[in-house]
Amino acid sequence: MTDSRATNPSPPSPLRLHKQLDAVWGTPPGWGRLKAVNHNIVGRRFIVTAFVFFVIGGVLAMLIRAQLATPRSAFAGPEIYNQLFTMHGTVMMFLFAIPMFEGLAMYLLPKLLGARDMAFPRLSAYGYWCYLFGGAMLIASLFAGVAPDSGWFMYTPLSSRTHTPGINADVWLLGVTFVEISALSAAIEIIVTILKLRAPGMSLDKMPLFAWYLLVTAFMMLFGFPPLILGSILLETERAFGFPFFDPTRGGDPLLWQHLFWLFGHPEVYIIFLPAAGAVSTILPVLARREIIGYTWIVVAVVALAFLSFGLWVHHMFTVGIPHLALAFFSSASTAVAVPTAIQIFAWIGTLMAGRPQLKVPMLYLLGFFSVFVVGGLTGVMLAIVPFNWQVHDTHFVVAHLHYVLVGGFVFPMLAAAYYWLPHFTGRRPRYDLGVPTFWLIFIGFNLTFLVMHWTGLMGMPRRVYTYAPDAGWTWLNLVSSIGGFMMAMGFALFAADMFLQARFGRRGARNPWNAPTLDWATPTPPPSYNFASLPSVADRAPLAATPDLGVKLAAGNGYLGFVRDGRLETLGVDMVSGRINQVIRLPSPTLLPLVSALATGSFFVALLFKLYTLAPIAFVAAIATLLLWTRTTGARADSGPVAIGHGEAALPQSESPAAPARQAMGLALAADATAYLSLVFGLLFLWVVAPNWPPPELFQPGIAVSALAILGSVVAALAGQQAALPGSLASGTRREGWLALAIAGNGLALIAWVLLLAAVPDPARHGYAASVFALLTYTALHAAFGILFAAYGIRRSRSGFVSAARALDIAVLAPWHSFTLALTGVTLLLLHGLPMAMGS
Amino acid sequence: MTVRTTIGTRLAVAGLAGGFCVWAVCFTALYAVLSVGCAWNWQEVSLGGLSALRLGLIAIWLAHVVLLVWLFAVLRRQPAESASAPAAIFLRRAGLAATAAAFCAILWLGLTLHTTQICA
Repeated sequence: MTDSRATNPSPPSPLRLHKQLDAVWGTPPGWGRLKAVNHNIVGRRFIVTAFVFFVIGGVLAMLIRAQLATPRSAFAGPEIYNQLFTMHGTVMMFLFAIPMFEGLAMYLLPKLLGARDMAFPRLSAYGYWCYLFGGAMLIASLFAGVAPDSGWFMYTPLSSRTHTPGINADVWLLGVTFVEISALSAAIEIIVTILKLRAPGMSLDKMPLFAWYLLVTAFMMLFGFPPLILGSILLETERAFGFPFFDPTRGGDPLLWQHLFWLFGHPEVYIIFLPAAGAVSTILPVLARREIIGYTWIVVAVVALAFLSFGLWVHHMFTVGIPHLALAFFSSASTAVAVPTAIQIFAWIGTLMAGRPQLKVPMLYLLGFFSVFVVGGLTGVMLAIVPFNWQVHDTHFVVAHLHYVLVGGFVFPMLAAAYYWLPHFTGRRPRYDLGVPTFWLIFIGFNLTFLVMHWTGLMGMPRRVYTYAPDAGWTWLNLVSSIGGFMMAMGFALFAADMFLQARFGRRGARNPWNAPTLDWATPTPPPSYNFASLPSVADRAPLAATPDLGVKLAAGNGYLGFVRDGRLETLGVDMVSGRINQVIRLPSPTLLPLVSALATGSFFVALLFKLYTLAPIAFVAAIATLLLWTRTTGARADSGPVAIGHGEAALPQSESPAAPARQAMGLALAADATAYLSLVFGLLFLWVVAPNWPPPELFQPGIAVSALAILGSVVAALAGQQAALPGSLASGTRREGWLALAIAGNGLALIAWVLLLAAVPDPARHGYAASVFALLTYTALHAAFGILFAAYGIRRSRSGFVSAARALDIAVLAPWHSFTLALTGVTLLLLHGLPMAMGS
Repeated sequence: MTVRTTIGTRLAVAGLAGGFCVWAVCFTALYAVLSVGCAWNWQEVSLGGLSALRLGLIAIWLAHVVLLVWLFAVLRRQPAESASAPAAIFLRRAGLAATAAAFCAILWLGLTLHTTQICA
């Protein structure tokens, strides 16, 4: 099929269509699998890898319980024990929970939305490799005996160079930052996919609840992870170069780390919980055999939860000496967050009560989720009350609470999800021979382990101690906890065996064994690489309930894009709110580039870890260069106008659409960038207001002329970048390239100014003020440097024939970068000039 | 979809997050001003028998309460023709509910302003 204009081709036979689609969407076998970018493969890789890390984290937990089972145990010394509990938390939070949900989202989202893939498949693959390599780096350190040992939250000064002189803390800071690249890339991809790549007709009110949950979660990741990444960079800079951001003797403050960490850390709990709650909201109505109650209220509750969860971070710091009224603010938000959570729970209970529930294995795990998570939520409300929090701070009560929330709120729903969607992954009928005993082992084992831990906590047993005295009165409680822990481990082993046996030996079954109403069950099972032979049109929240044979119709090519055009991978893009078709999105073929880029990125982090500071910039440049290589196969060299999409309709290709996904992705990336920058600004202001040993011994007085040069350059770059993207400029190659050349000149001038200012900063190792100023200037200078690169890239694309008045994407997508850099310039200079004046007064 | 409806839908989308954005700004402003005020001993300056810092915090809170009430009123006044599109109906309802929820959250936050010593 080579039709490339708005003439609608007639669909081929279903078998022929399948072969044509499989030929272009499939991944090559053998070594070609390294080129995989398809969401089915990348999603499964995320899930399997996350489960492997879960097993590793579980083994570490067993070692912890073996040590604590008896008093004065000689099983593990304090040094090893520190590594065990640090790595257990790190692995479970960063290498299991977040990637597991990312994998599930990547696998399921396009199917739930009626699309053929995610918006940026190569970004998915790049994120996966970064996650795998970063995770491997952390696990390798465990075997080398240099694993992080300062707790999963890396509190300073324990994690500072003075108290952790080895590379243990560096492994955490660099490894986790490397892994978080995958979280940020996944966040952008999930948001854009949900907002742009839905089935035609799927307006926001018809979107599956799971998509709403993932949308809100992805936004939380976008704003939650940058403070942690920024904090990690600052702490690594302190450890490597002595910049004293967290050293109170030189104008730093350890509390700054706690703020930056928990600004991420508390939303993280909800980032983990919300996708699991999305799975509950998807599975529960199917097993209750009725539509979920309170769709709109659930959406509002999820949005409320997301916002409120960003107002809780200080409840991890209630004992650090913050003013009482501030504690009251955070206590207020900490109690308020229970309300939207309760709304969801009542909606689920109401759905169960109004429906005809089936007590199948996924439902067992959902009931387990209810009981465990509600207990965790209630102890959370207890901990939100300041006086109680003071009493149990840093005791095992908190350990019990957090496990009830995280295991209850994430692991139990994920186990339900595993049993619910396993037939989708395998195409085999579900069986429950092992599922039921597995559930009871895990449920009883979990409660034995952690219910008694509330008591040990209330009796005063602190966290993170490797042993205790026989006369402390905690002996039998700890023994029960350990027995429960091992029972739970047996349950998980049985679960893994059950999954393997069902996937390997289960009997083939028909699609949609649950009579589910969502589009994920309209694909064949297991799904082909392209999901749908033709794309559905949606007029209902429950498309399969309205049209039970929709999957068969789509397989016969009766939907949109039921053909292959010029060997391209195509799916549809829609208006964000109404779900009306507004573009045809062309997706990339399998390629090694994401792997190559991840290897280059990994080299950068490894070079930093081993202090190879001459190699690090080379690896950084290599990573950027390989990322730019991705663009060689994107875009079009000629205008095409609207192209056929089936049903006698046509739409613009994404290269000509003003609503192309890449534009939205740039906006989101800049939002994350702005959050990191504001975290840095917060750091400087926090140190100024709170840290001891201020004012600094030497203030930075930026020159007026150099500052004016920075402003001039940034203004020129921003205006030129905007002008280049205007229709009048886009129509003429000379004009648009001229504007882009001016943007290069403007950014170049600004970069010179930033370098001159950096050279004048007092020694950054002397005081937190100078270190913060240095960091602010470097941050802004990097943006000017990237501005040069992006404008040069625009010129190259223009000269290669990828830009015209209609094909504006390459220029328009980068224009906001220059405006954003101008905004950074303004704030940076305002702070550099204003702060010395404020301190002087 | 008419121009008015499109604007209404956009406002409704804004309403879904707008109310809680106001709550978040209020929360951040209260914490920031409290921190700076305590560092600079503003609590010791008295205005009409109340500390200047507490009065300032109450003023910040009230301003955001007014802003939320205004946002709610704007969302409620959306044109009736937007009701012709199910997505618009959903977004309008959700926006109003989210703004009302944000209003409750900000009232709950405001209660704390009278509960305890400021900088102890």
